[in-house]
Amino acid sequence: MKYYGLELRPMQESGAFLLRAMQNEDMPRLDLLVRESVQNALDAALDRQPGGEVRVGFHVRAHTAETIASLLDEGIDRKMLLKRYPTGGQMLEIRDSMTEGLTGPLGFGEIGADGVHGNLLKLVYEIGRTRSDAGAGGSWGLGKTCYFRMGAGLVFYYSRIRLGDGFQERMVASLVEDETSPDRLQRGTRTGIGWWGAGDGLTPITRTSQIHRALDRLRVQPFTGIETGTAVIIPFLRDDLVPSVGEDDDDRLARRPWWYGSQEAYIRIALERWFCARLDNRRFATGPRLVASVNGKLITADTMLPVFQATQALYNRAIGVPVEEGDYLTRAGVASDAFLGREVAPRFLFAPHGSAGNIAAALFTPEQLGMGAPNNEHDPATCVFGRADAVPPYRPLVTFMRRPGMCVCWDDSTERRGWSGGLPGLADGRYLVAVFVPRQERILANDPRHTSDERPISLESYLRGCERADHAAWHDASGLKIVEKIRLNCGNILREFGTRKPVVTDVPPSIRLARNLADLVLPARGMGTDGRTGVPTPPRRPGGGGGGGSGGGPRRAVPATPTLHLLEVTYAPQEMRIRWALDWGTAPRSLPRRISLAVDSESGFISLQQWRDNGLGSLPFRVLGADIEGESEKDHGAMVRVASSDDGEVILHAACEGPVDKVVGVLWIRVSAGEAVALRPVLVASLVEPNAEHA
Amino acid sequence: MSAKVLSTYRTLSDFRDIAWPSMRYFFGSAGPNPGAFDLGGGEYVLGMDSDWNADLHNLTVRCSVENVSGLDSLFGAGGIAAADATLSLALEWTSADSGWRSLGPPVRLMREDLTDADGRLTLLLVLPECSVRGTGILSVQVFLGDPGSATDGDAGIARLRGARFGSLTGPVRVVVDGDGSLFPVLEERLGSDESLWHMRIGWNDPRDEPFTSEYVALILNCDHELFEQLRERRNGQSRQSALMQHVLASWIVLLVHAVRQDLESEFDALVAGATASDDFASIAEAAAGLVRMGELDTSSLHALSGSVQRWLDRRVRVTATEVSK
Repeated sequence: MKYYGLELRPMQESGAFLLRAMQNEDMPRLDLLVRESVQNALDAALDRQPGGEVRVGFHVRAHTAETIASLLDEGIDRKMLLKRYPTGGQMLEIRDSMTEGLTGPLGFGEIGADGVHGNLLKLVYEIGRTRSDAGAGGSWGLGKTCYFRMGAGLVFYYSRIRLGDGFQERMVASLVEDETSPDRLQRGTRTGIGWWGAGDGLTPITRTSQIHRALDRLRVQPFTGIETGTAVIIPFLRDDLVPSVGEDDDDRLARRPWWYGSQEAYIRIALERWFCARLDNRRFATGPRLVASVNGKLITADTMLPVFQATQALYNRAIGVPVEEGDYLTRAGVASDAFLGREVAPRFLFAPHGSAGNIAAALFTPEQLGMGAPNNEHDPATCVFGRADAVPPYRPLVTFMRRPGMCVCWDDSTERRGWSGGLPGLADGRYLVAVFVPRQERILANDPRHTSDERPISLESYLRGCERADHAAWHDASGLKIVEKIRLNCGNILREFGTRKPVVTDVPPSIRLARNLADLVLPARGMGTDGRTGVPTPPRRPGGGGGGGSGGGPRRAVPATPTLHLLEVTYAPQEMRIRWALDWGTAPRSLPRRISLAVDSESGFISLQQWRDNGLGSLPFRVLGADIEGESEKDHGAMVRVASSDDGEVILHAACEGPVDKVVGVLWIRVSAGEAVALRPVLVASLVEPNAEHA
Repeated sequence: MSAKVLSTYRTLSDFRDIAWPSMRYFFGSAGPNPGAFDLGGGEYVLGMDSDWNADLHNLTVRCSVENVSGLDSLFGAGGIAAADATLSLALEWTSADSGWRSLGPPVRLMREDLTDADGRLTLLLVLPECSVRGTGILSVQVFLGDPGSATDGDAGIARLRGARFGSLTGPVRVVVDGDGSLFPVLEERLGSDESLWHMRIGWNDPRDEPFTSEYVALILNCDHELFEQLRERRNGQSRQSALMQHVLASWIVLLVHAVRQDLESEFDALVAGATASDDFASIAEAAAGLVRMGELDTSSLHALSGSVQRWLDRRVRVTATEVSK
């Protein structure tokens, strides 16, 4: 394979920089590798629909240094390679299939007008480029740098893709090493970065025969038939990839879990640890299930460690699919009151309002997690963190995930603002395990700090942007508190769930004490709903504060519509005489005013027209006549006429030129005999709209 | 639109210049005394220095009607009912906040009763527990009990049994729930092995949830051996025991500390009064209010603790002075 060493240029990344790019020294390297490689495979799945599958196989085997050296025709310091690895090393092959493979242009010169770089360039040649779809796992394009940290920095990429009606195979190698290291393997570059491929070394080999010869030496099986996919081959694995086991509180070496015995075993548990929700889960909601194997041995859901089987069952319950008959919680005999399924619904987050997702949690006895004989499984904290939680109360374990189904992290914080809300654990020695699954499609409510032309942001997209290169936590964007609100809400729910409910007998709340303490330390009003202070103060109005005006109290505006006043009512047999006054109102003087008669009822006024239309019987009241008092007529020239005795209306016209202020008059109403005395007449004053006056 | 409802007979609103009777209201309960207090202007509040709780206890209202002789003009020609009619007086509770109205048992009143009715005319109304909310209106309603011999005669008098004449006097407003401050304290039987008190936190976001016992509370354990020592000393100079005062101080320290941790610098803005909601006092605003009112030193936990205790000492002294005055 031909070599291309990256030259040192301004702003050029170096190998030493790339090896630190992930900025995560906390997580064991094999965990980082498993998370990154499986996410890459899931992102490249051919069938993204639930029900399908994506296969990822991990293979660890020995190899010789000569095998590798023989593949790299130039550019490698063969002497140094043999010196560093005289007995060869271990090689890791990560092979995904049912994926699209390393598609796209073979080199930067082939990038078309659409600007699509493709999987090949992004994975092998570029840094900081990622997929554009919100549901993808990657978000920074830095995850691949973890490959270079597994061994000497050398990585072979082999892929088979669909191309037109056929297939194409591609193979390329790259080496990223600390360019300042005295035992570096490249001497021809000052960046520590180089590639091996065809031609000038910067494009992959595509000749199948050449690729198959190389694969044969590496003992990698080529993809055949209609199979497409990618194999990442990392030789010379470091021998410290399996972390040392944690120590317990007594500083004694804890019982060493079996998966710390080999890289293969550790990879298997890392797969369970981070992908337990998706691994062999036919109910996985947001994509094909993950089918994973280590050295050919398939990981099935029922062979995962119990805590991870429990997590998968909780995930399935959180996404709301019908509970599987015989899921782990059922098999383990988790009582109904030891399970919690709730919506997480912080206020003011989404438009329209809705939940942010669901949380499912359960309390497990040690026996329910297989910790007793005969299984003697390790405690959940050892399975997750590699260190035992030896003394109850055991810290609660919470995990959460986006669409790819990878546990972003496992949180065992007992801080009050943590995912479990400060719950210290359960005093009775049970373990709390919880899963939060966000509702990816939720649209974030507009933030006033954003401009209105910004596109709506989905929760999934926001959370993806909240992850750093290692995807190991969600951090809110500056000034926003989306994650914080979700976390606090989850914490509140879990704290309430995990806190033993006090056996509260019927003790009445001490209102007097509440009042007396309020008198001592609180303002008289505003911190409660007590009635001691009288009628509540009306809420402040925005921009209010004093009313303004030029003194003398608020001025009441003259209404536009007429206002009726009753001055005197006198009674005669079957008749009522009403003396009234009408404020004409500021509406155009020329518009006639109407006084109409109606009947009072529980549900409002019934006009006489409605009374008749609804067949309620003979009209209980009727206008007999009306008149304007002499002064009004003289002052305003107002005229009055009864529009229709059936309609019971009186229409008033202002005939004068000047303004009309108030008109006083009388009205006679006929009261029918019988049940009408139990009814109450109503006089209603209103404007007559120009086209509504009755003839 | 302007509307006026009329009546086919005279009602009490048609009489302006008669000598109206006077009313005296008395409030009681099958449970604790409801602690009614007359604010004047026809407004009563309940719960002054009382454990009465509308959710747990009923409310009995007794109204003594006095000086009824002036009602004589309601009978006969020009009145509301015939000279030999019987009026029914009943106490009525209406409350839009409760969505509920209720009438007490009626008391019959005839013209000849007016001279010696004073002191005997008492109306009763019992409002069951959990039935009153917000603000309600009490009034003495007058109905036509028996029309008497009036068949013709004056056209303005009522003839239909049950006819409503309106309220005998202006309405009395009774405030059950308002915006008065309540400290979120609860007493629970937690067992003698549990602590005397603790802080219960139920908020998700202290800016979003109100300062009520549903979201944050001082929980006192009734089963603890020191519980009785928390009780206020009724006859002492201070209304709170020294132990209660210290519990309260510690609780305030916890509250301010927890909210401050939640909100970080935003809490300082709240204390400075830069932001406040109009509709309800949130937990964050309550904590900020405590810091403001007590001029609490939040620079460190121990400084906060000291300043809370000094503030409470001052408050207790002031309260004791107010009580003695």
